[in-house]
Amino acid sequence: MQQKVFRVSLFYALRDIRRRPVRFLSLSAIVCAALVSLTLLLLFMEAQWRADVMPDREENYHFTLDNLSEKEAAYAESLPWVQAAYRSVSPTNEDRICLRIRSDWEHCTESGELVRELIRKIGLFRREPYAAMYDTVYDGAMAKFHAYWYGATEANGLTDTRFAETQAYTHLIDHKVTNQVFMQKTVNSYVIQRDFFTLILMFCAFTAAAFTILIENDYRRSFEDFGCLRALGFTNGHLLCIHLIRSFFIYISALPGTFLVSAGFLALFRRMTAASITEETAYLMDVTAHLPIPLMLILFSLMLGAVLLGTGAVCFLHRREEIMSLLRGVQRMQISFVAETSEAFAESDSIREYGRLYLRRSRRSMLYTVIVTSLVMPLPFHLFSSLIELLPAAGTQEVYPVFLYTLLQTLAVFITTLCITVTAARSAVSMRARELGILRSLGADRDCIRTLIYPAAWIQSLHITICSLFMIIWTHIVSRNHFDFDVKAEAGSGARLINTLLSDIFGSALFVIPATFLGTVLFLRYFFRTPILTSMNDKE
Amino acid sequence: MMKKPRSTEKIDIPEHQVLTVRALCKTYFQGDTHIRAVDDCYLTVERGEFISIIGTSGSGKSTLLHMLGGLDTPTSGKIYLAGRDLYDMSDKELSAYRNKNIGFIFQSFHLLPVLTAKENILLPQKLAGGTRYPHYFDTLVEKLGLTDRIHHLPSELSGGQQQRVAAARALINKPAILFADEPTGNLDETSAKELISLLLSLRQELNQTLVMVTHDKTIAAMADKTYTMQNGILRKA
Repeated sequence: MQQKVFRVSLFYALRDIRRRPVRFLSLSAIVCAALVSLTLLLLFMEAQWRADVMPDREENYHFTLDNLSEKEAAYAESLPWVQAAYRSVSPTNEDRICLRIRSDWEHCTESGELVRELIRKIGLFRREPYAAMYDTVYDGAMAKFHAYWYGATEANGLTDTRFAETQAYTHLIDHKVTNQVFMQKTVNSYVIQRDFFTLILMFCAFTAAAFTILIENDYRRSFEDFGCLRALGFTNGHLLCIHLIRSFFIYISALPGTFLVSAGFLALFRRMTAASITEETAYLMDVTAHLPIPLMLILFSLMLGAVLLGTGAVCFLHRREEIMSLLRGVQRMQISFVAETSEAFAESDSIREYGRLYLRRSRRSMLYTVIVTSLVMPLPFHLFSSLIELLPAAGTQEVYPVFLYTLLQTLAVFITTLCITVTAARSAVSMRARELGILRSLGADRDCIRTLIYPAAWIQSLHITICSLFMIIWTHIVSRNHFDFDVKAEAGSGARLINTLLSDIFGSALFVIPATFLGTVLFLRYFFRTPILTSMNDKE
Repeated sequence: MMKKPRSTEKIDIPEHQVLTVRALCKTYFQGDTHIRAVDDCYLTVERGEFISIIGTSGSGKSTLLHMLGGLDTPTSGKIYLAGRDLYDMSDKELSAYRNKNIGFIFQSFHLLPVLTAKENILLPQKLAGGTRYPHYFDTLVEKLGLTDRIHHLPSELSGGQQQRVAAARALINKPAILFADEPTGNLDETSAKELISLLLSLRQELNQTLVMVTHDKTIAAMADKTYTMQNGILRKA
């Protein structure tokens, strides 16, 4: 049965993809490519950032102790901060004990059991991508350590274990051996932490919301086709399957674009920051080193899940649409509503009264727009707060590339968010095209239409602002440890909280309200240029 | 969502009665008052009959037809198609039933623009599993004079051709009952005559029941029974 549903849905979906005007499909593929690229690059940036910051926090080091007695070696191995001890064979046949110090597995993997299990299964943590670089880099780092160690022991004439331990700690804390091997390893441990998955979830919400708006627009344009399919015997399950197949193909077709955009962006970034990139840090530009293939597969799967979730949400929202309403190609406008508004006109003769009644009737669709748009907001503001945190140190050679990278990405995300918000606002008001066309045919002038539309836009934008604010604050709470390093630590926590809140309130209001009005104005501009009859037929 | 309670009422419907309608109502609520688009309608249609329904615009005849075809939900009353209560079925059951037992021809064709004429016609058959009447397509296409147009998209066909494609699509699964909602409304006189004679000949061939809503009194006169609809009330003409 399921196979039959899939087969007939695939039949229709493939023809729909092939023969539909390319506008929707290409737009969807471009949006999808842009979103996945943004996700990939931002996560890469996060990983890179962590590589710079986390070696100091996680004590993620290897070091070697020479000429220890068995007793001393056993003692070293039993130390709580030593994760593993292993013997290495040196060219001079010296007996060396190597210690690996890092936080334990449970501490590293703050993520849920499910995620941990998934990562274990695909072998991400066991993969050790640093292995290839190990020989070349390790020698340099160890030589530095040995010089320090021998210098210290000769000067003191001591070889006892307590001293070895103290020296090792001192070395770790003071010298912060942050060679590339350690950075790579740190990134590996970072990608299995909660922060990383919080960020991925934010991206998924962003993508799902963007796709919901895109598919919703398309769904409403294809009401008649879906009504026809339902009349022929297609169930809601078939329609869902058709949409999911179509979204899947859009996503797959967007992947080559994703890689092109990512590569192009990184090339541009390298060129812009050429002066700040040294040989030692050049490897940090290598996406595959930081986001290994299994992780990228997880990311792509999660993004696909978000795309399908967004698509499914639209089908779910329209599942109760009457077949005849779909066939007529317009959303249901009940006779009772028309009658109610007619009575209102007779009593108050007021267009505002009409608008108020319409708002009351269409509150469900407004709620939907508010929720979807609010889901998009946390990500740009999250990035914006990172940018603000980096601002004081933006001029330094170490932070400049990270700052520039964040700036470019934040701009890209804000532009995407602006497009999504404008489209959502335009889409919400374009649902009223038919009604407005009828009003115009009855003699309502432009001012009258504006009087009807703008209060609704105000109410909608205020609701979006409030919901977005809650979402943004929630994101701050969830990722409160995210930027917990020196640059940020300078500000007091109380002052920081107030600053963050104020910037969120003003930021979301200053962003959402103009974007919502832009969408409304763009629709009205189009609407006033469209012949009344076209509007009444609800055809865009 | 609360699950719709299943009716426990059992009725005996003679086998030759393909469609039985009892106390069917469709009401639109208008503040405190109600508009009855279809008011307490009773109808019995026998297998192979041709029923026409005529009436002025807004009299409720299309609403009635849509409810009979399972496209719209009645406010109250029962519709039995071949003894089965149409609105006692789940969405899935009703969809499958519509696919296999009901054919619908609309005034504005409602062809799927992304499918060719052939794909449009074959779609209900594919949905039903694709094994029903595998050779009927060729027969149907030949009878309807569409042989040289089957690979064209609807936008490349004339109005008459589009309506013939719609008719072929409605007939491909050899449904027990065919509903036609002003099928000639968007056609010129010649195309209208052609379509009606084709529908009637196919109906006779398959012993199908045809329920047609029309403004055209000449077409209505061809029917075995004619009903008029006025202010939501159905009467035999």
